Amino acid sequence: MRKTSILVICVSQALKMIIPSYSLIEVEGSESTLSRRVNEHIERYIRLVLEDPSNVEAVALKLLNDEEAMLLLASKMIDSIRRESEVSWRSYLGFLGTVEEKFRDAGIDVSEALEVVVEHDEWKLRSLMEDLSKYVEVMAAFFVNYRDEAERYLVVSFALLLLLVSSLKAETPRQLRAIGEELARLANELESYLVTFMLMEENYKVEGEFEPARSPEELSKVLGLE
Amino acid sequence: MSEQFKHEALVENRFKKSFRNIDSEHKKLIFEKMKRLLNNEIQGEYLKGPYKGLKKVRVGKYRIIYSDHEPCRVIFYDVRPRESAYT
Repeated sequence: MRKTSILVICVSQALKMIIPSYSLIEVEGSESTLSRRVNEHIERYIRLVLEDPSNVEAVALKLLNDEEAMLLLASKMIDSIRRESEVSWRSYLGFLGTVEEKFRDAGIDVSEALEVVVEHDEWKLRSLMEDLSKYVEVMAAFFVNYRDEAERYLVVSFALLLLLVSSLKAETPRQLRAIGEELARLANELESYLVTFMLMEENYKVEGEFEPARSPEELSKVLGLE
Repeated sequence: MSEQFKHEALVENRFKKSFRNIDSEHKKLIFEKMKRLLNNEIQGEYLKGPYKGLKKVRVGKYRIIYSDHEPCRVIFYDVRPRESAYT
């Protein structure tokens, strides 16, 4: 493979690290030609997830390798940042509220998973808006030094997004339960990435000064609970 | 004599400092979670990349960062608020 091709692939992969996957979500009342194209394009992936929610990671991988979808998503991200981000964010939270309500009505609790997803997306949006260079530095460092994990992160975040969108189209409680189980599992994994990125952003280092405890009483004393 | 943990706890100063600023209800929950980790009753999940030796576990609105890769020892590094606006 020519060097330029490798470079293009690396840039394209790295760009996916930066794209907030929630840019796929349609903002209420702002449907544009671009949004319609994105929705039409991802419809086939949603159908695949609904057929078998446990296959969501493979579907996310397919989506990540779909160059046209990635181009549309990148354009949509730029578009949503260009427009009023606060309005977009509120609409996104509204979308998640609808998702949670649908699960709740079926007796399924996905609140923990949704909290993690929001925390991740909120961190990503805040980093993008407040300190873009630091954010890009963290993502690039992770992408360059931990390529396998970076690719896994992409699969996890896009799989979660596909599950969220699919949940609204699920027709049976069984389908919804299977989606809920995948949501919980992948949100837990997403959280590991989120905490890692947060620590990287602040250049977290172990201090090295410890106090030991071997019993509840000693631990209580160390923590100042007594 | 009081009951001993299965593992020894090492609590970093940063953890102690963060813990001091937490409300009493969450302090209790965190203390209970630490006891369960020290008795090997639960396991957190590994972080990634440069922090892959560390683990995280959720406790209500907080998250404990710790490691258990040394035999018979659990090192508590920090306890941080989760930053989710979605409740």
